[in-house]
Amino acid sequence: MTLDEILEAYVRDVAQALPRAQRDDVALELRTLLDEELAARAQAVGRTPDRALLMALLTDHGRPADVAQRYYPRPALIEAADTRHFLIWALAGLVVLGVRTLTGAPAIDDSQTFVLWLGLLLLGFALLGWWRRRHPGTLSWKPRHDAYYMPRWLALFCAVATAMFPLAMYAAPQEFVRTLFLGAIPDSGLMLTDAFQHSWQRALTLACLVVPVMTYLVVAAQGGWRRWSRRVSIVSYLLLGLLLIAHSQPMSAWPASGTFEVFALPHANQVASPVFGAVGGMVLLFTLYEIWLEWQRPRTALAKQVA
Amino acid sequence: MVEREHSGLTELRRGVVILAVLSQLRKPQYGYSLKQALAEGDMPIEEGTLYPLLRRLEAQGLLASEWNTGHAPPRRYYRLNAEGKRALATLSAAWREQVQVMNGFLDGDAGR
Repeated sequence: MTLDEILEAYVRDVAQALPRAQRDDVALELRTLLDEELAARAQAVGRTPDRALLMALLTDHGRPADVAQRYYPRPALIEAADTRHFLIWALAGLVVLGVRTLTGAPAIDDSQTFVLWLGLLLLGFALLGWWRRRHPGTLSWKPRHDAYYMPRWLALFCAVATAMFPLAMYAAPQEFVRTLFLGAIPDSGLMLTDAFQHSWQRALTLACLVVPVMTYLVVAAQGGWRRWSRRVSIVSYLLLGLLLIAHSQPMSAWPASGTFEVFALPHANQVASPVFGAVGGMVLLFTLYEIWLEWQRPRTALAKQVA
Repeated sequence: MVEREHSGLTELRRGVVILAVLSQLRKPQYGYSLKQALAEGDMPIEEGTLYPLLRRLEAQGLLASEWNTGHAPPRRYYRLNAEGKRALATLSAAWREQVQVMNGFLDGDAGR
């Protein structure tokens, strides 16, 4: 390429990245200025303009896209300040897909779904940025409580609610339904198999449901979470999520051999299986979110004081 | 000069580039002549930064420009308009205040 062609190519690449109304004007000005710059540099080193001099000039001037951005600054599709949240939400999508697979939910094309999720995220963050630029001051930061905050009344409510449902429901499903509906609806479908009733899985699941009730009571007494109570709660919910997912398949009789079902009636197991999987998946996702909150919580003086 | 100091100086200059450019456009200048004027005044600015800045200041309504086609090659000349003159006066006053403030800080540091 001749020097003229190289210059033309550079100016064209800059101009093409500009709004149509500015292109010709900027291109003409930029071209004349670069010509003048090149002549001055050549004169300074005492030789005629050559390719090396021109390339050095254009390199100093910058990449055409960067130069165009200086002429006409365009906002980023995802603002730099939102990059972290974008990545977190993208990762959350991957985790949801992973948990979904774990729960035995109907098969979907995971890679296609993830790409769709990324597209939706991009659109969402772009709209968010556009809204903030158009309406400065809206969507502003608002103070919110730390994850360790829980009022006493809410902790008590959670303790009572968890004790009734799912703890009581899980411990004695037939009695629970009979009491709740005053015997108005049949409960025979909720009859448990003997193997399940005496299994370690049921005992462990009951323990995982009792622990949160106890920790909520402690939280009510102490007026908020402490590091140890929060971590005990997280571990019990993590186990609970995994156990509920295990309930969606015939359960292992380990250490003995063979498997057993949860409910005595085959139809009840068919109905309950996706429900166990979905609830277990949601508990697992909720717990992973809580683990993430715990992990990224700054160890400030206030946080240490509470812990 | 170590890289860190060079980067600090660049940051320091970035804040006053607009004021320097406005001060030199009290008389009409085209891009290259303005770059030369700034360089001669010990305020070198990369052309990739300066030329787009002129357009942005014009878009902000601080500069007026026109093509001089009587010269070969044609050149686009920029100069302050009324709004630009007002902006220059305001920024100049603010700059002088800042210099006083900074001198106060720096003299205070030196006295410690």
